Amino acid sequence: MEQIKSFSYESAPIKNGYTDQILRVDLGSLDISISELSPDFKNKYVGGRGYALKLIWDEATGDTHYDSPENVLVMASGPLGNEPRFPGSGKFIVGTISPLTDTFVDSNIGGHFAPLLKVAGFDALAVTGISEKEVVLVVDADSKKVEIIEAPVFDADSNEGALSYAEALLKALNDGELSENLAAVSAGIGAVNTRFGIINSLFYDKRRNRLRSKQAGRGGTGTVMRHKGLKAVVVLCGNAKIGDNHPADEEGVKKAGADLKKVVSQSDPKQLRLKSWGTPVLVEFMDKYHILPVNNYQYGQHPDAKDVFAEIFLERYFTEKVPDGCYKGCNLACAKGAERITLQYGPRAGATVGIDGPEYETAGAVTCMGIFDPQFIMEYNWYCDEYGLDTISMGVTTSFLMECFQRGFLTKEDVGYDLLWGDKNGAIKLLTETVYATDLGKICSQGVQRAKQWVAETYAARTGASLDDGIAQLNKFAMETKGLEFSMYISKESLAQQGGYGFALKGPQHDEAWLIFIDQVHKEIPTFQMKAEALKWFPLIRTWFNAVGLCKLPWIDVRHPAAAETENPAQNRPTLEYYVRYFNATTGSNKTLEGILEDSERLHLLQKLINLRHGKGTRESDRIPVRAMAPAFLNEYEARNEYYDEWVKEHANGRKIPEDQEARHALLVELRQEAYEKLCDVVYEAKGYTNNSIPLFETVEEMGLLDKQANALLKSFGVEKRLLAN
Amino acid sequence: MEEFISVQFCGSQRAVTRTNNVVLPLTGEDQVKDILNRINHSFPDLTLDERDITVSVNNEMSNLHHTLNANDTIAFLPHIGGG
Repeated sequence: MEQIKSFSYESAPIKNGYTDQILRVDLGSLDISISELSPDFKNKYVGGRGYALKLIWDEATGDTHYDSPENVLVMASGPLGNEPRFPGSGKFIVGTISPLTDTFVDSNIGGHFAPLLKVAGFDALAVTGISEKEVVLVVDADSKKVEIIEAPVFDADSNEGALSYAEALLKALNDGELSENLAAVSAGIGAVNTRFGIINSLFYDKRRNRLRSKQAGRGGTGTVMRHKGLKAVVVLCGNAKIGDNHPADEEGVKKAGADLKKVVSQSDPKQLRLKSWGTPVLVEFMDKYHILPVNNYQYGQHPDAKDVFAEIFLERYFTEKVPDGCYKGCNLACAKGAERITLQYGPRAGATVGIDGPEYETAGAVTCMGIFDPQFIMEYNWYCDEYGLDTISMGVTTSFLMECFQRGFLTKEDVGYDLLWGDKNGAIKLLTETVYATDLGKICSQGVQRAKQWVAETYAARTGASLDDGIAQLNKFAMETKGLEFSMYISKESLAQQGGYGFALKGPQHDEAWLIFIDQVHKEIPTFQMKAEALKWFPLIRTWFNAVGLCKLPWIDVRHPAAAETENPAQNRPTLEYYVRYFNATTGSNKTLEGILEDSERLHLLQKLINLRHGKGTRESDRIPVRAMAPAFLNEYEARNEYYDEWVKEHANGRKIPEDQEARHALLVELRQEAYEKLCDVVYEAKGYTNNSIPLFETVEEMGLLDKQANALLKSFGVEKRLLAN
Repeated sequence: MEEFISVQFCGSQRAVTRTNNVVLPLTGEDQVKDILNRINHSFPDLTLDERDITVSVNNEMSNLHHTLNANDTIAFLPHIGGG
């Protein structure tokens, strides 16, 4: 393998969860260096998302786009990552400026990569610049060397695939052997040709005797990686011991981890059973409450949904019955996998592969296309992983184009073939075209926001309709906000979740706030004020998980039995106490939950400032499509007309209820839009923002973020320090 | 005339009970809690603990002390917090 650059380094030991070093690689200048971090840096920005935010705040500008050389691609765990005594500690964050949203995005991902990187001496990897050649970065903890090598060429399939390329690469770098002491991240050909390319995290699982993979799916982080010319990053730690996080208080870590593991092992089997069923178990519950996306989020329920309930996957595919955690020591182990699946669809039909997944989101992306075939879900999952596509963005963009075709915005001439709900061949054909950005795939590869513009132009050219009218029609059902496609939950009947999607800084991904059940189903937050409090609290605690290097599922999806006796059971505070203890025992701090939330608030606010800098931070950017808050078309209203008629009657607030169903539908949309606007006002106030969603001067100052850049930015939005009245 | 309610089994509950639902006779002033006890007695492997579940009656959230009517459909759902 041809070496382009080699760099020797002194390894920093891990102390209290940190190495206090960031590995910096500039692929343009081929400069490799190490940034030493001050105590103030880690105290203020914690790790993970916090580190990514700070680097991008300091090094990018409002003119930085995903393909700018100065865009930073950050991969960072946090102080609590790399600790098998505590569940879910293999997570890391990939953060960068997104090709879809043109502002900061991050996506969390499991596996051995970040723990091994920490063992090798680095809390984070930050890549800038653009390489002239396709390269691979190798971090060798044994020889204490970081190398940039020319990306090796293997067979044609491997060269295009992310999973197969990483396998060939790891074997080539390790005498033909796979082992638990090496890991890689990689992105496939689809990441080169689309805006929603993913990064795969690959690690060896000796139980399955193959590489398994997890994905940083959202926002196009893989696209950035490949645009930089970076095909893969490998960490080799032959002699180093994984999982030694050198905490300040060994006993404290052991006790906190044991307490959480006990709750998980006792409660999960009586609750969701994620350990044995994985996240596809959610399909049934989402279907039951009209939350499962069907036909581009038109409907939340379908009679055929039972064909893709979790037990089908369990019986047909998850047959090995082995724990499939994405990192050592996690006793929730919700990731699932399947062996020896023979592909029936697409360009690799006939090949036999191992498949990691599907997660609920992937199943939802397929039902969104009106497809209820478990085999197709498995294959869609594999193709997206191998070629490097986000299953959510791919599914939502396909669904959008399907609906455009079926509502007459596109014709067979525009598409090249029929694109109908439930058409597996059409869906896989479009997926293949998207991977290579050919035919309609060239449009699909750009995501919903950009596809919408093309559809409107195509429609206008054919019909003579105005472009603005076309966009207005498409805005009703183009399921994106800030440029990111919605994740797989129908938010129409939950105002709180509409806010959860609309206010999410990265775009409508549920990892900031998933409030559907407590709002729509449990009805625990009926008032605007209660919704606003939830929309402030949940994003902060969820941000913390993304800063420290932990998976949040053991907290959020396994309810502690003692939570029932607390004021707000959905917050699951008895379990959060274990996390606070674990944090303090690892880092030697003495924080309370409130202190942790304050750290998160700083990170959240910094992300908000980046959004403002990149033109995605005002009230306008928080707007969501009609379909995210109401039935966009009459057919959706008619599908649940009794429910909607009753809803209009209850919420009309003195307004005359029209006899005509079409007019009732229009009134419903109006009422929902008014409610969303009111929610914006209440939430912005709760967060310390103006009614245009700009943080107040004092809010930024209080969090210690008022540097020169923030000051100028706030000033440009007319926000300045208020003089106190006498 | 005898009156009945039904209990739906979702997700892994169905795998344990091997049925989608059971129909039970209503005995006077049955509350949801009484039905939970009867289900736990009939299907001991389910181990439904009231702290681990939420109660739905006719697809609306309810509670263990809700008094049931003929033809009600009950489901004991797990807590779901979102990924």
